[in-house]
Amino acid sequence: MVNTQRGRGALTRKLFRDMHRSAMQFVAIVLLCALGTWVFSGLEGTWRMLEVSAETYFAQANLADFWINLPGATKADVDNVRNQPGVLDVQSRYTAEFDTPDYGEDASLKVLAYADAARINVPLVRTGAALTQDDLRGILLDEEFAKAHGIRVGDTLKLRQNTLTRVFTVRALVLSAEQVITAKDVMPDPLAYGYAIVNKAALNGFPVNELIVTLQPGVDAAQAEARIQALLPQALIITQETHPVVQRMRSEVTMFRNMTYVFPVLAFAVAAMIVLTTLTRMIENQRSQIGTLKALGYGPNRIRTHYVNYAFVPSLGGALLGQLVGHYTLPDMLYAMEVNHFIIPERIRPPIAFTEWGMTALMVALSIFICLAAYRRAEKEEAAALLRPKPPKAGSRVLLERWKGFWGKLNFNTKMIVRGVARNKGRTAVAMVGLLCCNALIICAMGLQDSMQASVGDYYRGTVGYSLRADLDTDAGTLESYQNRVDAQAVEGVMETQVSLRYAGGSRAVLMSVLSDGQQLMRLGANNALIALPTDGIAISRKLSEVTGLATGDSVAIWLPGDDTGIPMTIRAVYPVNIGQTVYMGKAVWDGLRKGAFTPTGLLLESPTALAVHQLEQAREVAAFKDPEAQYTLTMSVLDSTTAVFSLMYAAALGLAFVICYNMGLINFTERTRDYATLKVLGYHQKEIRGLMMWENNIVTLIGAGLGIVPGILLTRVVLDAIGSESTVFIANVTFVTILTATAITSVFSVLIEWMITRKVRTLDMVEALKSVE
Amino acid sequence: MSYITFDQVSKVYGTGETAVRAADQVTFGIEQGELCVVLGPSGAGKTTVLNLLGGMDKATGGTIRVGDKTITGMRSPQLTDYRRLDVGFVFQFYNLMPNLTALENVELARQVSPKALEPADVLAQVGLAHRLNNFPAQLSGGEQQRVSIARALCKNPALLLCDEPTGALDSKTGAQVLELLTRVCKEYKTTVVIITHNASIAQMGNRIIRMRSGTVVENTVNDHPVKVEDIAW
Ligand SMILES: Nc1ncnc2c1ncn2[C@@H]1O[C@H](COP(=O)(O)OP(=O)(O)OP(=O)(O)O)[C@@H](O)[C@H]1O
Ligand SMILES: [Mg+2]
Repeated sequence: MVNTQRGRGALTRKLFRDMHRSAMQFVAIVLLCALGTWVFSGLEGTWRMLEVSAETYFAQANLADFWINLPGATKADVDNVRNQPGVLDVQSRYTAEFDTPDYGEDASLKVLAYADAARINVPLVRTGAALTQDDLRGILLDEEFAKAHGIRVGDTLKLRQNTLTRVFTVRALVLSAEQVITAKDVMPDPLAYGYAIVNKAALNGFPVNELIVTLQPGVDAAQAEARIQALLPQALIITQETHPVVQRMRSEVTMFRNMTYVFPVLAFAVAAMIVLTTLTRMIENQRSQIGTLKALGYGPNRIRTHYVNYAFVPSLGGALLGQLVGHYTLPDMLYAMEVNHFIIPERIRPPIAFTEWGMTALMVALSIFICLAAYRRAEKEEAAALLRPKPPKAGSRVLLERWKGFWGKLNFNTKMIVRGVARNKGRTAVAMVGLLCCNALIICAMGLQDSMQASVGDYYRGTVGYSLRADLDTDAGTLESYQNRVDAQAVEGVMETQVSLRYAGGSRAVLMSVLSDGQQLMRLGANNALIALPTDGIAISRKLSEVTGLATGDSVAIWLPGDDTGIPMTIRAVYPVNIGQTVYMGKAVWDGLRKGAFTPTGLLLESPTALAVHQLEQAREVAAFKDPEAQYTLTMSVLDSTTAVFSLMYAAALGLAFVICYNMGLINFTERTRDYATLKVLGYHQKEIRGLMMWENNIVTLIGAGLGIVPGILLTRVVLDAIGSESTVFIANVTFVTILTATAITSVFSVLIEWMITRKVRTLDMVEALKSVE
Repeated sequence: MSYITFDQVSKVYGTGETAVRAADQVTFGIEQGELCVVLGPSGAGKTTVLNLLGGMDKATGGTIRVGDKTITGMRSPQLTDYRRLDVGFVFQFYNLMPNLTALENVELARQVSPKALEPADVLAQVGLAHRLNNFPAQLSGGEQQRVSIARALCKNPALLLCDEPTGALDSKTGAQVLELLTRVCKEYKTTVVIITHNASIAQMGNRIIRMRSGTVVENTVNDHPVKVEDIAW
């Protein structure tokens, strides 16, 4: 008993001394395991933090399941909806935009006028007090809008719609979950747009135009939607999935979740591979010691446990460290970046997810498995065989030598390097794969930005052919009146309405865009070519086709707001337009439907004169101007703040590359110390030996980085698919410059590290290195 | 003044309590063109002395001269040049590059030496004309040692230093290698220093140096070296 105790102590001491002696390699294992779990846990924790914070907010506000757009809804409609199976609660309200003339000509508020106290989509009061039922003067104001304009509780606020104005007193500043992002277009601008909540009684004379509905828990939303749709055929039902705000919040979460699963899984895989080589080498270097322990009479289990600890201790330490550090640091750093322009009242830290523990366990299990596999190979041999040194690997001819003419032209050093690389195939392969992954990750990180720029740019600079767009109110004139009046190279109109697109597989609230048939300012064809709109049907955008699965030739029905029958239509084309889930219709088709005159909601202007712009600015019905170039910049800035998270991936890729290159370089150096010492004895100068090492490294680097180009491009595609937003199609577009830059970064990195390693030649002790055969 | 002179040369490994005087005030001389055998028990300091002479290690004290060069005063780059131009080394365990063929291993030496001989010729000299394109793993121990000697000779060095060149060989191949070394000494006028445990081998040298505990205990000139084939093993 006593003996066993003492023996175990000696082995434990040996374990820690071994770790101390090969400190670099153990540190490398700890770091690699940590890196693998760090990135994973960090990103996993971040998106979960975003999700749990947003969903908690939604739940606390009692977010609606349906927003039913139903102009002129009656009390009976409300009761009928309430009586549908599965419906928990219904509230009616009037929702419309009002101008706030005291806060600038362009500023407007989306006003939500509840018929009774808000039970669904309850606003969160930040300062002040909630509205009482009989308060006809009180208004709850969007905190961001209030901040932007310096409005405080108790201030008055004038609302105007057409000729009607009402003055309210701000009772409280609030946040609304259904307005978790408040943007008229892409980017929130609290100076120009916000929201407010009043009692419907304060706006007497306005009809109810919206029902908000919550469902009982566990009810199938699609079935409930279908039942309500059957009950109210003219209603436009917006679900949480199609609600522009809710959907935008959730797709942000989804995007980060998908990123979490692509990058860290790769990082993890590479880390695991390096652990594999390092551990295998370490066990092989312990051959004679395994033999000695056997010869001393240690049992196989004791020895195996001892060596399993080689993997267990550093991998558990590293993986746990990475997991905890990742979970408790990265989310805090990245949350703000991910939240972006969403206004979420409270940041909630998620518990450590099962997947995070799983990744850590996987890392440890993998390390142990690798270690056992290496150990088993050594264990098979007899003690005596183990004590003899393993014969050095034989050199052999490489394939290249068959090509006599070429081989003959190579200089001696190059030949030597080529053979050396071929001889250490396994190690060379690992180094190459490391560099390959590094380069692929960098290409992907940069390629994502390229692709987003190209896709968004293709829309705003290619598809869009106008130089300015003026949004018009409901009291807009006819297109001809503008064409006569406005001085520009071209004036065209677009009529846009929210419609319900119903098809065999479901229904969806989408934007319908009616354009003049001879229009020149929207280049909807392939390669931004002008294309004639279908004369006997509609066309849909690429994204709409993607999300609905609809294709050319499919039959659909378009329900206009307020209509109680749908209009059957055939899809005649899918336009390769990158932005928007849009139905395109020609003006002739629209006129043929006899659903009213073509009234533009937007004017598309090509090179308007300054005077024309000024006149439009003065016109009452012009709500806003949109400049495509500014739209592009806005969209990119939103995407950029999102993709800032990719900077983390650059860092991770470089960190990984560093560890891989350093580790492989070190192993390489250690195993070839004898060769280098021999060269030193032969009178090779330090510079010459280092030159040889650098040459070899350069070749491996170039091949490895080169092999990473294609996977990098493929990876970009996969990631783009994974993060694709609901409104935008991202087409992979990795530029040559990106490939070159990424490859240069990878190479410079690798060269610098090798340069560091070659410094060891200086202190290489020939006498020591050549003393014995090890 | 001899061609090679060691004057009060010391080599101390480590410091303080654990310091080992591997060479302690070693003083001896070797003439040009001699075949000198260094004998002594294990740990006597033979390898230490040879390494100092070959510029692989730096002495703690004393002076080493080879011809008109003072080895002990040299800095690292000069020592490298000295090894490159003047010294050929042969090891007990050959130290061939496993991924280079016999010919290429010898070419390795030619790469750095301006007055190098033709590698194929040198290999023919050591009797390996037919194994030029074999890798070390495909050669026997004796053949590998001959490649190693060829590699040292190819540089056409003034000094050929051999640390137990027959240590890993059986007596017959060992004899072949020793035979080769005596021939080199005669034909190329190279000064050859051979370390060995084996006292009977000593008889083949022009000079025999005996070491014990880091000191030279005997330095004798042997006017009648025995031919290798006549040595009783
Ligand atoms: N790097 C070192 N550090 C400490 N002591 C050393 C070192 N190298 C050699 N020694 C010591 O110096 C002494 C001489 O060693 P050396 O290798 O010269 O002996 P040797 O005569 O060649 O022996 P052998 O015949 O066994 O090869 C020995 O006692 C050895 O322990
Ligand atoms: Mg020795």
